[in-house]
Amino acid sequence: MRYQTPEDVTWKNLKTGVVLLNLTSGEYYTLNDTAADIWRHAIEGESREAIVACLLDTYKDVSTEDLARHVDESMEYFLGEKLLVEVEE
Amino acid sequence: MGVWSILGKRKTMATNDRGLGVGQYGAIVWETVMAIATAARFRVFDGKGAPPLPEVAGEEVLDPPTAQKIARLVGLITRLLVIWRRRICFYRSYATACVLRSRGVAVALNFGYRWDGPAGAMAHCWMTLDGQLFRETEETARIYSAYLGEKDPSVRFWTDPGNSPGGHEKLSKKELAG
Repeated sequence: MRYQTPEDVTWKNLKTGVVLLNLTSGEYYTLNDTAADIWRHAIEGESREAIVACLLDTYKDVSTEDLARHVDESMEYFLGEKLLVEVEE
Repeated sequence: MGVWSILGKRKTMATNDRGLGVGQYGAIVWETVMAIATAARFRVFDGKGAPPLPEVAGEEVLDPPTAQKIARLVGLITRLLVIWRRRICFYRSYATACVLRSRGVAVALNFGYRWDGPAGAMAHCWMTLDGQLFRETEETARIYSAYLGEKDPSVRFWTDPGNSPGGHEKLSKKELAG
């Protein structure tokens, strides 16, 4: 499964992380470094497994299980808030 | 002499104020009240965002001093009516935009968001006219300088590029915009 942003969601890379905005609802989100990394990989069209693999290179002191759990939680949040939608591969 | 001066000024405001007669003042007050009611109703029942702005009327364009005068009047009325909020930037901007757009002045709304660690979530709403600040300080443009996107050309969103994200912080415009 891959992901993309709906048309009414815009985002911006800032020096301190990522901010997201749902243009329809007017809700604004800020992401910390870890969540921002997950977001960037997700919108590049990477699968959940690919995201975990990429982040393992960055966060070497985190176990695969912990990282996978963080990715799952973040993706669940993004999908729940409709900041991302699933697309068939 | 003083009495004559006061009377003369009143007469000028009532009948010869660059197109703003008594009827116009009444219409502006009424439109402002209706715009505030619309905005308040939207915030209560729809919760987020802003109600749609009226189309810009094509048949009448005000001269800049008159537009400024109307904006001041709308701001004053808003301050008097919106007693349930200390910060009225959203209501003032929305009402002013409604009143001026219906008179041919294409005022746009802008929403700015930022996350200021200790202070928490901050937001502001202001107006622009032809891309320039309208009755707003330069400080706002300096703070909210990163363009995020637009719902349509009349509603634009900005953020603070020095934003300090602190997690999955979801900031509702309902709670933020003043």
